[in-house]
Amino acid sequence: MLPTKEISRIAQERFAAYETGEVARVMAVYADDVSYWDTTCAERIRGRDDLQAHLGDFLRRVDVRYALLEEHRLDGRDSAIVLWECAARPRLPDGRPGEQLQLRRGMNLLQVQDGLVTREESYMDMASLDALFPLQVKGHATC
Amino acid sequence: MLTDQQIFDATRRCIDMWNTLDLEATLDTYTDDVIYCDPKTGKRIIGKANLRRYLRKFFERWDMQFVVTEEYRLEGQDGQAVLWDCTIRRREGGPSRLVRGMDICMVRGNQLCRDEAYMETSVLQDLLALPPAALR
Repeated sequence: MLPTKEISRIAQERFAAYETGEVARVMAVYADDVSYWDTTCAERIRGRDDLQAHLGDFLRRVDVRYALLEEHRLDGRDSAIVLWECAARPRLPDGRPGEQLQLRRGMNLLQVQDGLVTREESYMDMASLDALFPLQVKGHATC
Repeated sequence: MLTDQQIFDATRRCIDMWNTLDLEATLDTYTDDVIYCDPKTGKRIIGKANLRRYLRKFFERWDMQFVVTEEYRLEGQDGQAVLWDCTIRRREGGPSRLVRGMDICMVRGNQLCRDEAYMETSVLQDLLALPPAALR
């Protein structure tokens, strides 16, 4: 079993990577055979390549900033849930965040192994983001 | 500390009552000072009286059937994460949709003292937009 601190470190690294908007850095937190699902996914995504296809467009178009509200380790598992609040802004053509802003809260389940995320489930309500990101949100992830 | 089974039973009892749409039976599974929120509450609802007002409207509008898919105790706490699938339709009838979600639940005694639910709600908007003819 991993120390709780190590699970927490990996979880925080995951959210910090998303804030950079760099696809390669985000993908680096996931295992090759990661199992991923979020509330925009019809089916579970398996593998880093398919995950990159799912996340890449969103990361390029949307700037996200997280406040991690709570972390709870799951008893007897190398897993944790993380409750978060996210400020999402559409990126301008030059990559800088625009002024429009939406705040969302959500909860992720993260399972880790060998320093990488092997399973992630991300639960949030994307419906209210439609007005802000009308073309981006549907079918893409995610805060 | 409660046992895993006591925690899981308290949450399952709550979910079972949601499935009945029996408002008072559902409220019985929460403590008087419960803290509740879901994407539709806007902010946290504190206390059973306030939760009653919210759930009354919710139960009048929606018919839900939850199935627990995974449940995990939180380390060192009388709480759990519960993953679920919910088949939801309007009370008037019509088509149903599947929603997946996750709750964090804290248990005191055999009741939930905190319940936060996270899910996508666009499905509810889609169902609300159905024309009357689609509800028959």
